[in-house]
Amino acid sequence: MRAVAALPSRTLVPLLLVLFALLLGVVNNLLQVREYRVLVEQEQSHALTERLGVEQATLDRLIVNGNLLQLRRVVAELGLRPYLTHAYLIAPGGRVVGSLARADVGQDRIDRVIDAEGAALLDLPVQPDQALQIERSPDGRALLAALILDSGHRLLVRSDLELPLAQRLHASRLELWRHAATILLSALVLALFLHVFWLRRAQRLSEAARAIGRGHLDTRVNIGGRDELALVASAFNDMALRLQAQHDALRDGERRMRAMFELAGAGVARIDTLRGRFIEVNARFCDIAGHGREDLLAFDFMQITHPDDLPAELEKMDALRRGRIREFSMDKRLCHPDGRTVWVTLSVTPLWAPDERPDFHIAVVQDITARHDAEEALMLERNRLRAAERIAGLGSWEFHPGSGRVWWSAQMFSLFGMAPANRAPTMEVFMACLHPEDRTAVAVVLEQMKAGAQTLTALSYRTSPECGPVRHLLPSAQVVTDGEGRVIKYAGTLIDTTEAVQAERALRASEERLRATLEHAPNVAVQWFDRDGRVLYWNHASATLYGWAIDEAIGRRIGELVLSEQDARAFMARLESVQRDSLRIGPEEFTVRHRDGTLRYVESSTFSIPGVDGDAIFVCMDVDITARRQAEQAVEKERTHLRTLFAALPDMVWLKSPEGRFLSCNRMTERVLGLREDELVGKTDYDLFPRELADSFRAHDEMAKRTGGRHINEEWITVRDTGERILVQTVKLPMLSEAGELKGVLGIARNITQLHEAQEDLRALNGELEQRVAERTRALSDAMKELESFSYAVSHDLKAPLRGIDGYSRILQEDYGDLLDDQARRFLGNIRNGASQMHALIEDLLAYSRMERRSLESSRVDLGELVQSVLARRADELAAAAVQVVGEVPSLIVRADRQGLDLVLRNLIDNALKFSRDAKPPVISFTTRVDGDRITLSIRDNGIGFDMKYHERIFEIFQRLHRSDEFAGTGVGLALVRKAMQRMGGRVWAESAPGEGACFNLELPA
Amino acid sequence: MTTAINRQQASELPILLVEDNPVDIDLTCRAFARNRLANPISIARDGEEALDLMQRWEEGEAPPSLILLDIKLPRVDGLEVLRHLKAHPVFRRIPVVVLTSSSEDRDLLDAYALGVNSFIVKPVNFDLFVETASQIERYWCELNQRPS
Repeated sequence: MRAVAALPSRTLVPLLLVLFALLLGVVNNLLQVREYRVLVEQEQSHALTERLGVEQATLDRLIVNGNLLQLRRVVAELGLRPYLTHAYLIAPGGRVVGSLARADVGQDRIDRVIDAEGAALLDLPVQPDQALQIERSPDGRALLAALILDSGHRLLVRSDLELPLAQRLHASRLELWRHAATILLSALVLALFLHVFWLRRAQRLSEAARAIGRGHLDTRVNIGGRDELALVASAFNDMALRLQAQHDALRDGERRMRAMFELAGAGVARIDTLRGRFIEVNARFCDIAGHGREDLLAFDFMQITHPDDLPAELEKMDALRRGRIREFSMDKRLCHPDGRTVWVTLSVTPLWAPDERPDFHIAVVQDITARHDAEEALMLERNRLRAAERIAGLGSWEFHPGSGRVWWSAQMFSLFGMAPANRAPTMEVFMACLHPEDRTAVAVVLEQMKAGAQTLTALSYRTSPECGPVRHLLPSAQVVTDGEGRVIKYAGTLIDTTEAVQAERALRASEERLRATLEHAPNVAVQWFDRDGRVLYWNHASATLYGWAIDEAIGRRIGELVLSEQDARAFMARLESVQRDSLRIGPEEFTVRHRDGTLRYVESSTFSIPGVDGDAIFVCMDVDITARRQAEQAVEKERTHLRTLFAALPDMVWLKSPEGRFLSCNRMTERVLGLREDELVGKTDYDLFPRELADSFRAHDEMAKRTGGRHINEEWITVRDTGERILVQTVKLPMLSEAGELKGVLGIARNITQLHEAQEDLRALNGELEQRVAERTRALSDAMKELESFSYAVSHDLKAPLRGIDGYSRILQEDYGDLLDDQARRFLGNIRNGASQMHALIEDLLAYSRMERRSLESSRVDLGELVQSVLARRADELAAAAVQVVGEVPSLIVRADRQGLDLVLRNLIDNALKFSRDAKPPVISFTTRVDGDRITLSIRDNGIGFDMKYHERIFEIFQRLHRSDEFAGTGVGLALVRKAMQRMGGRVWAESAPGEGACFNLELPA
Repeated sequence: MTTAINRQQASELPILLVEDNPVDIDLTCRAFARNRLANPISIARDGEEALDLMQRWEEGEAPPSLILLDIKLPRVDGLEVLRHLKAHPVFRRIPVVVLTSSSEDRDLLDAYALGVNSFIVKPVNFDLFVETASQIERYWCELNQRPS
């Protein structure tokens, strides 16, 4: 199997195809052979059936005819049929009538003639219902047939099956061989085709690839054709071409690299990254390290590195190995074999890709020892300069007008608040650092420098507030020229003068402040004089004090400013004494005279200060104390007043210390206590009064001290000299200092004995008065009671006789009317009218008296509803008189006694009815007005009215304006109305004119 | 002792008038007489007499069907009589009509406080008085039902 797989595909593919085809043929054949036996049996069975069917008719006919010969011949002819091995025609008696073998004919017993193969025919089961019966022999090798003829003859036939089957198998085998031959031929053709058109070219292609692989990069392949193989070949050729080009380039590069490696100015080494060993080094590296190439290749880089630099390098190498950095460079020292230290710049580049394992790296070293030394020297120099500049606050600069190059020292940068840099800032940056107000001026100078001017404008300027605190800078420049006088460069310095400028400013400000202080000191007049008494300085306060304005005074001599010669001389004498003794005179009090002649009080000091040119300046400082002096005088005056007042006060006034000792007292106290003030001072209450009284005084003092306010009490004391007992009312209050400290207790005592007596009198008087009032009240209440019983009696007793008069008059009229003449009857009528009038009067009077006596209830009454109620009760009368009621009283709530108001309304409506009886038609109108918390109801009629001059009379009791035969009435109604309204806190008034109707107004609280 | 007031007897039982003024007695009697009503009128001339009558009713005399009581009476006034009547367990049922001249609030309040059945002011006008008498009798002796 291994051998087969190893065969080239060009052989293997056709071989496999052939094998496959052959296998298919054999399988197919085997399957067919299994079917042949059945097919042959069926074919033979059909052929036998057909033949025997044909022979049956012939045999029947020949038997009927009895033509035995012919019969024998027919049977014998059956043997011509292929594969028929036995045929026997047997008569019903068992005799053989026909057979293939002539010798058998005529034999009586078939079983005697039949051979072994045919014996099976005899065992063929007879089935009478079938004429023809065909079955396979028990061994399967032949078909057995029995034909029963009509005449009872039987024809037994055996047909062999083995032969036709063998023939069929033979034919089949021949076909298989033919197929195999065809397949083999096809495979051969296919293999040839493959070889010629595909495999041969593929082999060439593979050979070419193999050659390339072996390094023959110039190999090309040409296999022709246009199929995929050809495309592959073309791509292959391209690839080969590129590979060759790359290879060439690589080889060139390698060569160049090698040359560079060897000839480079820098030392280059390839180093095993993990071990640190040198793999390759170039000549320069050997030079720098000071070792031979062979020595170096035996070292690692740690051995030649200065121990101080090794940790830093190892750390970086570690980072490189871990992939944290891709390369690095550093300055380090190498240890030269001759003991020197060599400064190098080392650059390390790894040779592995970022994701590969570290293997090698390239180290490039450059000898920088010389440069390093120079730099160190330079640095030292520069630091010195920088320190010097920093100390001096001085920056230095250079400007080359030709190239425009600018150089700044480090201090320059710090002057402008910049970080030191290698290069001077650009013009824009520089200008931005300048104070905005100075930029224009500086720009002018810069332009001069650019133009190469021989002289420059000197100018100080400031830095911008945006670049830190403002600095004042003072530049200076020196012009450097060549032999022909052309400017080569400007070299200069810049000094920070901020402090100086600020100090000067502060000085000036301080001076200003001092001057202002002097100028405006409100009360201190300051003057400076020279030796001759001439005014050098004169402030505002001096102008105010002396009345001489500043510009008037300065330059004048003292003699012109003071009013008297004497004052001038005194002043000059003072100056001289100051000068002579270098004294300070004062402060002393003087009176000076204003220009207008008024006197002023001053407190004056005079001293000298050195002048500019050595001459002394005399300073006079006068404090105007006029106001203070006047205040003191006023205080003194007031104090005198107070003292007088204190002395003259009719009350006792004293002051005790917190401990209770008298400190002072007034004259009244002296009088009452019988002691002079000087005798009293230092004593306590216990020295003056009985113990009990003194205790009480002290207790009151303590109370005043404790409460901190006024404390009032009253005491009876005895006046020392007269022995008179007086009642004093004492007010005590604590005296506190401004700091709130208790200084003592002030006592003010007033003699209130007379007041007390007056009060007692008053109290007695009051008692008397009260008693008198009670008596009066009692009398009044008795009178009221009497009035009440009077009206009660009137109510009961006065009416009874009237009833008698009326009753008996009536009885007379009724029972004795016939006996009386007309006049007598009229008299009776008059008697009854009189009684009725009397009754009405009594009723009204009682009502009036009731209104006086009744206690009224003030309740909320609906005015509208009450008016409606009264009108409803008078409905009959109103209807009878055909009165028109106009206006509706709204539902207004008033505060009134319901019954009283009802009475009032009833009276007024009755009056309106009565006095408008002649109007056609009578009209009663109601109007209401609400005015704040007052409600007014007006009841107007169109009756006879009245003259307003009677307005007051109509409301008085028993006052009538009409005769009773005109209008009946008692003269009580309106009096009743007024009384009721008064008692309900309301009022009533009327408006009318004769014949114009009347309007009655009721005003009630809402 | 029979103190019960028979309903059948009500119209025949007398009306008791307690009044001191002879004129008023006469006029009242006349006024009631005018109406020609059946009840006879008996008279007590003052409060004491009225109280004496109560004693007699206790003893078996028939009490009146209605008492007309004046307030202002000598000796014992009408309100006192009313108080006694209305304090009595049986006689308190007799209707009492105060018939007086005055309409003082005080009298009205007192009378009603003591349980008066009716308070009527005697009109001065005789015709009105007659009318009033008629109404009193008709109301109290005919219309009004009383417990037996």
